[in-house]
Amino acid sequence: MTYLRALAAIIWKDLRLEWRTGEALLTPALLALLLLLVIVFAFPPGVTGMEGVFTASLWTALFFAGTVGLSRSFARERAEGRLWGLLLAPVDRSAVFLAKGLASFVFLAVVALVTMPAFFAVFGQGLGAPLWRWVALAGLVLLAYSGVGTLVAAVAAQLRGGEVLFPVLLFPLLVPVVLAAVHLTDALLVAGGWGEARVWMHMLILYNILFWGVPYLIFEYVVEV
Amino acid sequence: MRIELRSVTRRVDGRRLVDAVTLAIEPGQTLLLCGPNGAGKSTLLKVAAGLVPPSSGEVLYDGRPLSRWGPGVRRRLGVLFHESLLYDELTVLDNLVFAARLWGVADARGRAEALVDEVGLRLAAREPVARLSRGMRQRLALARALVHQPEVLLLDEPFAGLDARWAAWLRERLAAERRRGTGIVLVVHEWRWAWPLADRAAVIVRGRLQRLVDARAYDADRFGAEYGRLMVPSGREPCGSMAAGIGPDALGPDGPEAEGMGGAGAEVGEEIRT
Repeated sequence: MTYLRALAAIIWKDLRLEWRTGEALLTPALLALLLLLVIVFAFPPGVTGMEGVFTASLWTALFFAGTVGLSRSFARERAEGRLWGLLLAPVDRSAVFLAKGLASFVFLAVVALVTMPAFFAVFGQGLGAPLWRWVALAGLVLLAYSGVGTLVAAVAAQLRGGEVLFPVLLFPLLVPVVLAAVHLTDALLVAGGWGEARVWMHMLILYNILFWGVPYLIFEYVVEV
Repeated sequence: MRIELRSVTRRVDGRRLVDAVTLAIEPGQTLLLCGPNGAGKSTLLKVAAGLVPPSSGEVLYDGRPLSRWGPGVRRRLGVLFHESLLYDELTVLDNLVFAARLWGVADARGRAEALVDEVGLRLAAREPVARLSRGMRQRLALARALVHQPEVLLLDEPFAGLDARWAAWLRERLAAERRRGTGIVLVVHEWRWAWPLADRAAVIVRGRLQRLVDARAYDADRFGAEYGRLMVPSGREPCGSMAAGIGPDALGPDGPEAEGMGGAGAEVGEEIRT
């Protein structure tokens, strides 16, 4: 019960901070939309067949925009010794990881909710599959992203220049998620493609178990000074 | 709760920040921890709080190694570091509500509201911390340390930034805590300001415990003279109020942060480094 209360307290605190700063919601959402504009403008006028780049554009924008909020999640805790304040809480320190990860997931989900319709509209792309499948896909991809992103953000926060290093450390680990996201998105867009993509879904679930489970067990050592 | 440090050493990059220190923090007693800048006092507090592990030696809570306690034992600690642990973007009240919830205080909001009144921040309760003055931040950081009514208080420079009125409040508050059975460690430069609270006083220089005295049986001037000698290499004059024998009354009405007073410890620190 104490664990859950501490978890809820940290999530509540992150939501309050977000309400006041907009660092993890507003900035990434704007960045994703700006990336969409850049992609659209990057294509010469008159080019057709942009639906071919829909998948790549969507996930590239979401992954890059997401780094802004994720990198701040622990960098913010380093200032004024705030991380010590969290680590002194009378609960297992994995609660800090879980709370920060879940808060990041909420922020990423809101960013996706706001920006994904814009991508569909601009690219003239239909859903091609029931909405719940899109929700499940985006949910699993963003959950994996926030899990690994939170772990890397915690590690980067211990390093000098960690905020700059964050994407460099993160993206190599993110490759399996990118591959799964792209294959599963294509499977949703192509009628009858879901069967072949099932293996990617399993991989994504396994990745989630790995990158939420391992940090949960080792977080105490990750943040040890 | 009794905290005992047994031959605690903390090394970072080959440097001994704390060097074989043995100390105990007794319930209902106040330990004054003095020393120049960089002596290892703050590191010692972090080791005692379990935030950084000792490179060698042991930290025991009630006779049991810290590693054998569950995380729940941290509920019994209240800390104040140089860093405020506060969120600048959140309001005064939100910071306290968050701390109370994190420590599992039953009526978090009620407790936060009561502390806001106690530390005189009612008018600023809904202001972001970033807008507070240094003294107000310090009062809020103190309230944060007290929010869960801990059994042991580890306070690093608690009088820093406080004016005379709030320094007096803090002395009274700490005296009340001590009567309640709270063990207190005060890391202070201006030790005379806190001397009336002290049961024992320790001097740390370059990570080593140089002196540990029974403050109740010790004259402040005598301690001041000894402290001054420890601070200053032979052949140099001790500086500041520490060795000059200036008592708390002589600090004047403006408290420990008054002009010319706060710098004494820093000067001593500079002497040590040269």
